[in-house]
Amino acid sequence: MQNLNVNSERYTLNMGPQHPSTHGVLRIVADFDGETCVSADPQIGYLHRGMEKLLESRTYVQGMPYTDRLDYLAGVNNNLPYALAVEKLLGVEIPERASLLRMLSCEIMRLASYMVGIGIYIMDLGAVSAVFYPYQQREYALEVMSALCGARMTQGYIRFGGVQADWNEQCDAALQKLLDEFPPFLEMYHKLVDENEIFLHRTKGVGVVTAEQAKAYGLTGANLRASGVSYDLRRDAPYCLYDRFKFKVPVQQAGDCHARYVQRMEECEVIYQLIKDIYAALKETEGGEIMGKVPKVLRVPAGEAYAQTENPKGIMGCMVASDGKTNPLRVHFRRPSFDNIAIYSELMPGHKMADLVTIIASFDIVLGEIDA
Amino acid sequence: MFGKGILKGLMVTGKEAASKRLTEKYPEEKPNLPDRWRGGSFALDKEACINCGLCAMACPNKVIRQKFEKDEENKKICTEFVMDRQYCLYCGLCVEACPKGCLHFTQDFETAVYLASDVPQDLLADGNMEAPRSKYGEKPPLPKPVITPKPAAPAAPAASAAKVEEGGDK
Repeated sequence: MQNLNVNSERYTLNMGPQHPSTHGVLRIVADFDGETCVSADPQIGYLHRGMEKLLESRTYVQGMPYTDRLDYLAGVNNNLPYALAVEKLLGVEIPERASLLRMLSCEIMRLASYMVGIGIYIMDLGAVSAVFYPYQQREYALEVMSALCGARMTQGYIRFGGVQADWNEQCDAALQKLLDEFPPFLEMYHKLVDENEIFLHRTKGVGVVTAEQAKAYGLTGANLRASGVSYDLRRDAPYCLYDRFKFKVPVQQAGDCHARYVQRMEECEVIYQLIKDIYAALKETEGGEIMGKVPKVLRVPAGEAYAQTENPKGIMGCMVASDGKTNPLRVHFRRPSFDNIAIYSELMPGHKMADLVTIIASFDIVLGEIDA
Repeated sequence: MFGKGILKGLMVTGKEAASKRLTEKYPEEKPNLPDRWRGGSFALDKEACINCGLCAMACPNKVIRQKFEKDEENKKICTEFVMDRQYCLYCGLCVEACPKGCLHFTQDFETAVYLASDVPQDLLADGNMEAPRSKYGEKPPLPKPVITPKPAAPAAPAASAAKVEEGGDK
């Protein structure tokens, strides 16, 4: 690009991998002309653990706890596509209660993940107190999961054919706490952030992604919907029992960083309502089976299967290839954050240094998933 | 007016600052762990263990080190049962795999030690059974079978007892 400002100097700046606002270990090599970015190149791989290879050397069941470590902010949501893909090969039938428990736990963790997404976003823009209020809500959500399956973050709750444990009174109490505390929080948070002039100035018109760009770059999840594309897998290609529930899919038209914030806040309300609906449906299946008929030693029939789900960060896909042995031949994950950051190198040039932070934060990425 | 939104937000912060404390004062106040807590240390009921080795087979990360020998009566005995907790994912697959329900998580959470050699937990030397136990992996009691007027009912427990002995001999 041509150097427009003759008095400024062009230089390369390494942002990350140890930068607090890159959400982990993302490194962005950016060229600047004075304060303005002229090119940006996201570098990844600092958190690579060889997840797909690890899964090949373990049995199907043993691979399950590792999937939690992809998007570690919402562990259960990563279990689901892996389980669905293997179940497609096995051809087992999932009991109704198990499906509802899967959906309920996924929605609870989706809420928990959004709380981090919103909170860290605002914190990266300099409002440190605004991160702690969502974290309280996340804490209530994690308490539900901890009562349900004993772990707060890396749950590994889903099993092939069903789920690991049934709902109990402790979960009831924990979920009730979340349901009680969440609506007043949302109202309070709108008051805290929505009209803040600094926040509006720093986010409006920054990092605009058009609908065409979003589709071309394969953005998914809230980032896609903030650009005006109404696409939600839960509604458009339902898995589990999502087709039973009616819910709104909010869409923003602006496509800038502010729209991505508004999108997440609106989706929180939908998730809250969905949790309530699923919980009511779960109560009707009291005493039902939580595990389908699956043999103790899994020998998955040879073949390939692909399953995808709507995760907090976007569409998570899992491809499993089996050769009939006890361990998979190949497992591959489509990780939404990985596809979402591809647009950075087109989006960032032309913005100021501080806007780069806004753009990274507004996409709500998680590095465990990007590097796998 | 510019700054109105900031003032509105600051009012919220002020209100929240004066509200009730939500955090636990940790060392004085112990956290209230759920029944199914997983993490911390393990407990093994050595008398109930049948040396089947299923827990070690279920483990994704080879955390459980086990050695078996035959004693003079040609009975399988366990000579080593160590949990290498430094590799543990706390996924709970071993606890779920135990057919006798004798391997448990405990409700311990303060597991920091001074030496790295203290991290592996030798369950044969200390079964850790007095620690508060977690209910993780406990199967719900089976529904009572429908009573059928047949003499087969008393024969069933005898058959299962024979199976246990057989399993122990192997």
